[in-house]
Amino acid sequence: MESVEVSARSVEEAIAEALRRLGMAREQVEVAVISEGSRGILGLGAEEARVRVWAREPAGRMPGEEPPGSPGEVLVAEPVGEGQAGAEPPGEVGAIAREVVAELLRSLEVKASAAIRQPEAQEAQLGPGQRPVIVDVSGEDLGILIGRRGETLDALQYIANLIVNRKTRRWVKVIVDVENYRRRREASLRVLAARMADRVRASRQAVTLEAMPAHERRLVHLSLQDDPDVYTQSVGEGEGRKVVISPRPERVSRQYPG
Amino acid sequence: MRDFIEYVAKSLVDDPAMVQVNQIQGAQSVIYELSVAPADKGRVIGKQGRIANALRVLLRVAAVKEGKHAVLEIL
Repeated sequence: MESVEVSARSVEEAIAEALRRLGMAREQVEVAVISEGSRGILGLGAEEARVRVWAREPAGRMPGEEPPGSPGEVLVAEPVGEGQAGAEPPGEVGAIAREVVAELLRSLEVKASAAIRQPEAQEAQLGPGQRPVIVDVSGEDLGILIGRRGETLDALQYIANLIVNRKTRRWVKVIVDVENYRRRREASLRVLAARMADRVRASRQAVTLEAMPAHERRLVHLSLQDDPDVYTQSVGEGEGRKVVISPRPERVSRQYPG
Repeated sequence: MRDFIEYVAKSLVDDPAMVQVNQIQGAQSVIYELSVAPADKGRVIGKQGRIANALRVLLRVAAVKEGKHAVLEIL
């Protein structure tokens, strides 16, 4: 994954510069703000804004799949073409998932609404059978619905998955998100992974991250899997499982043949 | 909250007619007693109690709102 990190006086300038370097448009990239920077007082203590920008996966986005509306428009995720035997009629699973989540929220007496969100390009690449259905929840005081480290949200998602899979009699992955919590968390995990990898590179010392749920650890593993200098593994049991980022052993020197 | 437990239980069991939720109000806590057909017990408890635990986590949402400790018992 090609990515650049750029510093500038403001976040906007940093993004603009990154786009220039990548030669891409704003819609083609994902941006993570590493530091918003600060002006400082009379130019003292000013800190530059820093962003990391990387290309969205371009492949697998078929023309028909392009989100047709403005960002944020609610769409039903539809499996593309293929006409596979036994494939669900488009959108049906999504509609059921949305209903189930809405009913869970209602019975929990949480004032919120549920809508289907179009999967990110990366997920849209998966075949129709594996593509997750994303249900986005919005409303007021939803912090309570996220819980500590997303614990409550994970519980809700787990229950929603069970019910949807039983109702549709097939295995569909349902992702429940609250006001983009998961997406924001993903972006900050990527940034964290990149920063910790830099630290490991510089110090040649392994770094252990705090305990995370499985899908977050997976994200860290994936985002560093192509890093030539570090490798990752998970240690510990259950709730306490953590990712350890370690320096890769130095390459065996090939300068001495034979 | 009773609705919630009932909805989830009924959606997961083979025999929804047998699902019953009793609510016992205490001063500090609320106890929800969930009973299902014996054959369906595993469906609401889950492997390693995973489903029961997820339900308990979600019960805390309501507990926080009402300022009462919520307990789920599966009979």
